[in-house]
This record gives sequence, C-alpha cells and structure tokens, in this order.
Amino acid sequence: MEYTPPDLYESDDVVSCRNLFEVAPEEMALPCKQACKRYLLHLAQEHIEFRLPEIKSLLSLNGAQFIAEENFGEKSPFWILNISSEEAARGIMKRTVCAKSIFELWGYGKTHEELYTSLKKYPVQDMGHFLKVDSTYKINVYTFNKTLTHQERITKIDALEFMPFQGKVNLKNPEHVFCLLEDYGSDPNRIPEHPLNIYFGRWIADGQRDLIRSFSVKKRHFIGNTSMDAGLSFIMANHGKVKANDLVFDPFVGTGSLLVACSQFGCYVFGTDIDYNTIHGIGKASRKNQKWRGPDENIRANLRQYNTEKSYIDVLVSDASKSIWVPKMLFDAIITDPPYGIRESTRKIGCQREAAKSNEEWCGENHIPASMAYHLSDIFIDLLNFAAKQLVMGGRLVYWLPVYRPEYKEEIIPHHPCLKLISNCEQILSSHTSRRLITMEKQKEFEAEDELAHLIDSKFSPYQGHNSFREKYFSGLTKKIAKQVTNTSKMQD
Amino acid sequence: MGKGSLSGITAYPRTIDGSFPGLQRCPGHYGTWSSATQPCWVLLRMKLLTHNMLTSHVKGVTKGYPLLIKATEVKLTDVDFNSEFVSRMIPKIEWSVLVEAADTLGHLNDLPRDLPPDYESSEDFLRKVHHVLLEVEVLEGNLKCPESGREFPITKGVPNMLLNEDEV
Repeated sequence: MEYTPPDLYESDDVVSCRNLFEVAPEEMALPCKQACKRYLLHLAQEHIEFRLPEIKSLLSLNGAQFIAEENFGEKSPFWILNISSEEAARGIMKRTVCAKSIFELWGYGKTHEELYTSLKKYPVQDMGHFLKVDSTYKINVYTFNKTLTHQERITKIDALEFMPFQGKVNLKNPEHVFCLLEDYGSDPNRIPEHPLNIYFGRWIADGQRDLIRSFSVKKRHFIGNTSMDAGLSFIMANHGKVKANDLVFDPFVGTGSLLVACSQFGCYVFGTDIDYNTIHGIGKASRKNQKWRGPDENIRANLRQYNTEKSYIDVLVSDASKSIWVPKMLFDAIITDPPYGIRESTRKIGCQREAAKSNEEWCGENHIPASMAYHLSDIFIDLLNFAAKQLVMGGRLVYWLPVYRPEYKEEIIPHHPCLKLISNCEQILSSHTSRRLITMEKQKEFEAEDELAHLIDSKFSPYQGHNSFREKYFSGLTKKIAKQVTNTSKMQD
Repeated sequence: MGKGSLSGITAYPRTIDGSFPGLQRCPGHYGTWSSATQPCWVLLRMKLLTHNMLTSHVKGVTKGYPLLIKATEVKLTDVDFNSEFVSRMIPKIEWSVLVEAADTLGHLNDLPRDLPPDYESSEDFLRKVHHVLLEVEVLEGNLKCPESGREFPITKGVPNMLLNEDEV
C-alpha cells in the first residue's frame, strides 16, 4: 500500500519571503475583474519579512486579493496595490501593525513632472466629491529618508495649485486629508537631491501601530522570561487570519501574550502549559526588583487589563505531547511559541535517566510528575499532527521554529500531508541563530495514516538535525569565549 | 493599575520585595492574598465549555469521554452575551454532555434536554446556553475518567491534566 503525499507546495500562495521575486509573474499583473482602484500602503520599516504575509492574510480576510504592480518592491516602505473596494482597504487597516497608513492613489511618478501628468489623468468624477466648494481639506507632505525645511514643503504644496481644489484649507480639523509622499531611497548616507518616487493620494485610514505601545509587555501585569513582545504577537495573530468569535488555542501558553493579542481581535481563547507555576501565576517573578509574583499576575488578569476578559475561556495544566481534547475539529487557529530549550526547558511527562530539572522551588500541592527531554523535532511533529487533527478546515497554525543559521536549508521546515505552508519569515537573533515564523493552513482532513507520515517519508521530518539546537546555540558562545581567552593570553605575552 | 477590574477586586500596588501592604497571605489557598475586608482572590475557574471538549488520555482507555465532574465549589460569573459566538459553539459541543454536566452542578434550570432545531434564531435559548457554557465555573473539584476512575484535580479553577510518569 503505497502512500504518496499530495503535493501541496506548488500553488501561488506559497511565500518564502526571501524568494519573493520568484513568485509567478501572473500573480503580479493580474487584471482586476472588479473595479479595482489603486491604493498606496505606507509601511513601517520594521519586521520587513513579516509584512507581506500579514497584508496578504488581511486582504484575504476582507475578501480581497493581493494584486501588486509590476515594479513591486517588497523592501520599500511604499506599496501600490489594486484593491477591490475602499471597505476592504479600511478593513486591513483595522488590523495591521505593519502598515502606518493607506491612501487612495491619485498620482504617481518618478519625477515631479511624471506625477503631475499622472494626476491630470486621474478621472475628475472620482476626485470631485472630495474637492467640493463646501468641504475642508489639508495637504501633508511626507518625506522618507530626508528632512525638508518648512519652506520647501510649502513650495511643493503650492506646485499642486493646478488641481481643482475648491474647498477651504483647514489645518486643524479638515474633512479630507491629502498627502504628497516622497521616497528618497533607503541609504541614509547617500540621500539624492531629487526623490526616486513621488506619490499623491487621499488619506483613508491609519493602521494599528499604536497597539504596539499600548500593549507593551513593560506595562503588562503578568510576564515571564519569554513573553512575546506586543508587535510580534499581533503579527502572529494576523498571520493566523483570526477573526471575531474564533476559537484560538495556544498549547504552550506561558504567560498568555499571544492570547492577549488574539483576544484583542475578538477571539475566544484557550491555553495549556506543562508548567504548573506559570499557569497559576505563582513563583518567582520575571521583573527586575520583584521577587515573587503578585495576586494580579496570571493570564486572566492580563486579559482584564485590556478589557477582554470576556474572551477568556480557560487555561489548563497539560502536556502538549498528549492531547486532552476530544478528537474533533475544534479550533479555528493555533497560535503558539514552543520552547526552544534555551531559556525555557523543553519537557514532557515520562521517565528517563536524564530528566530535566525544574527551576522553581515550590511546585504546588499537586504531584509534579518527572519529566524527560522533549526533543525539538518531536515537538514539531506532535504540533503538526495536533493541528492537522484539531483545526477546522482552512484553519491556520502559526508557530516559531528555532534555526541554526549555518545549517539552515528550506527543506528542514517540517511538512505535513494535511497542512500547506503559507509563509516562512526569519527573525535573526544572533550571527548563528534565528527563529522563523511558520504559517500553515489545513487543507485536507486528517486520516489515520497521516500521523505516521514522518516515518514513511523522510521529507516529513527533516528537522532531526536541529535536536542539538541547544548545543549548537551554546557552541557558538563557547568558541567565542575560547577565542577571547587565547587573544588576551596572546596580548599578555 | 488595570482597567475593567471585576467588582470587588482591585489591583494593589506592590512593594519592591513583593509583599502587599495591608494584606496577608491567605492560609487556605497558596498564592492568594486576603484581608479582613477583602475576600480571598480566587481568579481562576473552569468553564463547562472546556469540560465539554476534554477527554481522558490515560493509557489504554478507549472510552475516556465525557469526564465526570465532581465539584466542591462552583461559582457564577458575568460574561458579556455574544449570540454569534454561542451559535458557532453549539455545533462543536456534545449537547447531551453539556446538559448532564449542568445538571450535576445543579445549574440546569430550564435548559431543554434536546437541542431545538432552529436554535440560531431564538435569542432566549441562546442566552440560556451562554449562561451554562461560560458563566457556570468550577473552582475546586475534580474530573474523573469514566473508564479507569483516575481523577484529574481542579485547583483554583485550573484543571491539572498531567498524568504520572507511570501512566503514560
């Protein structure tokens, strides 16, 4: 009985962010069947690899497609997209933490003359509503990678006089805001005299970058050593395409930072963790100057801090390698950050001579069973099987995969016959380590033979080499220290 | 400190060494604090929605669902009603198990034993389901595997589903 796993990796949707320009050209210049308009997305230059999957997921969530223009530059802060409706554009901005603002694009050029020509070609009937006599407006000038004087900005605004603005200028509280955006490239040491790209558009909405500050882990009641920072936890929720009333589960919940982000988008959240103390919010604190955790420190209190306590279902103490759930398709998304074995130990229940020792001195009235080493590659096999069994069809799994960079190849990303790889984004941690945010979507229902796919076909478990991730991580450091020691002893001679 | 605190519970500023002025550690529950006027904080509870989805994974057990609830402390709480969420959950749960669990805890009230066919349109019914799924919480007790008899304790509302090393 031969088992041939379906080939799920040929579709256009696969995005390995490094290879963006290898995406099929048809996807880039797709003719828009509905009346698409051009919009300009202005993005923050942070987490660059993570932006495209986020925007794609949010477009899909709002019923729109990702349609970029020919000269799409993924690393640029300005993206021109064709979106089918303004409602979809606003929908994206209600969720994104990667994009700062979105504009309805009225004109674009590589020089000012090109821009003006482009503006003159924009259909007047589309402009008219915003330029009426009884309306108020304001024009902003934004420059990327260059600072202009106030006078220079005024000159640029005055040059737009040819446009049929009939309303009154109101700088404090205008009805409509327009923006002239100039892109002076990405090299801060070689700023050109003239901009490389110039855009003009009507401002529609801002993104949710404020959430990064307001949800900062510094102000959160309950944190741990490895709590995910706010920006990345929202990015993970967006990669997971979570929406209101979804049931989201985190099998390695820790202090619940990922649940906080998902609950903000209206999801109902569950979590489990093997560590009794973290779930109950007791034991040593992670904050400097604080010895023990206080009464307000647990996951539920974190949700209460942000007014989303109604989203909290439950957290349980449980071993993620042994499912406690009925074998049904329960969860709409699984968003998690498994332990890498560096700052939190990887463990599961069982007997083995070299059992990992717990850091906490007091472990509660309940018996704490002896735990054994949980090999990294096993964590991911178990996680993918769990997701394949218990996600709804089309549901997403989003998790971090620690990687030893000198030995990284794309083939080591764990596969599963039921899950399709959507994206793989790298965050570099040090010269020889990084972690990759992997997003997978369930495309096929789970059958009994899928559980053992990794044994039959080595393509499904190529991550074995990373079991010694912990040793490799520390090997880099020990080599460095050894080098320093020899250098200093050389100098002393 | 935190916005939206539950009625009767406020966040206290902590001192540098981790203690709370005016409060003593509650002798009955580790990790919680209380005073003469402030009842013991017990912030964590297990909901019936969770119970409905849990199963026993003791080695060799084939009929580990549903777990039997034995509760020594049950509490009612207030959760915002969201009809869409409740409608979405009903297909994911086992109705008879929910009814049985609510009955065991004494909070069945007038919830029907059979699921009415057009439940999505009846707000009245959805409110009753909402109450039982999300507002009845078990603080202390245990969950018992129906086949092996093994008990999983619920402490401060958190079920501990870890098996011992000889049970895996």
